[in-house]
Amino acid sequence: MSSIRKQLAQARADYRAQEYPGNLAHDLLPPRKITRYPSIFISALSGAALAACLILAFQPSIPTPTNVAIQTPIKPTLTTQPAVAAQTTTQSETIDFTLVPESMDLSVPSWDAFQEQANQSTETTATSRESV
Amino acid sequence: MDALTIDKARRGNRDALSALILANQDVWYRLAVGLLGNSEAARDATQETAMRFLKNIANFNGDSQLRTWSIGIALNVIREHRRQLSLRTPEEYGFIASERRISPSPDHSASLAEHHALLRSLLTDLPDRQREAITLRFFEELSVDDTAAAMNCAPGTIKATVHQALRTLRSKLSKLKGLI
Repeated sequence: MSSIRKQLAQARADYRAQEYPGNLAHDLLPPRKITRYPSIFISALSGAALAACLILAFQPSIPTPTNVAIQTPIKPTLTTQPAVAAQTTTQSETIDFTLVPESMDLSVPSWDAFQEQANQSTETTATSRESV
Repeated sequence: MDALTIDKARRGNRDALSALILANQDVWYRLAVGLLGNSEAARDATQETAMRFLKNIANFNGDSQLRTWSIGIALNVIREHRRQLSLRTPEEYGFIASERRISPSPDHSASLAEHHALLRSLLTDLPDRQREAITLRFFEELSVDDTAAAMNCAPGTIKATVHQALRTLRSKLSKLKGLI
């Protein structure tokens, strides 16, 4: 290599030491911003969340069904005493209706007893006709 | 610079464009300083080069290296600035020209840094085309083909231009005492 070529090669380091005093990328490129697609997604998600909140806020309250236990029917009782019936309800908040006197036997009679009872009723009817 | 970054830059990716600019801004600046001889003008030329680079990166077809392609843009900008500088008044041009000149030291024992400064001073006296060819070949270390592509001429023309430039420099150096 000739002398002049060597000298030029040696001067290369001084030449390459020169640097631009600044940042052209920062000066010329637009500022960094959020990309379009994630912002659209975030906007859609926010809108859906807002709509859900509004729906829940203005939705009429619906009573939740509760389990209703099967209750045994209350057997009404009727009291036939007139004196009791004449009593005003002001004295008592509840009216006791006892339909069947307690003295009445409600048991089912046997067949023999039923037949005997039927014969007795027949003889009573015949006796009353004779008397007339 | 890898092909992926270049491809992203062509598509307008901000990070890729930023990386390419930062990787080349020093190349554009020192080329402008060497060819214009004026740091302020070199800064303006570098900014203009970067703007044109951003504007045309989408059209880069990859038939040459990106660095060579960007140096071609810088050369065109520098030549435009040089024409504008030459249109200035003689007083202004003289002032600018004086920045490029460094008085050669007749001292035979001049330091290496001073010798390099002298060499750069002699370079500024070369014709524009010769100075461009020498700067790209020896300081930017571009190949003959890449230098020809950047200067938009044939490789043979580059060889001849470099040969003429070296002969001129050798002649000027030989005239100075003890600097050959």
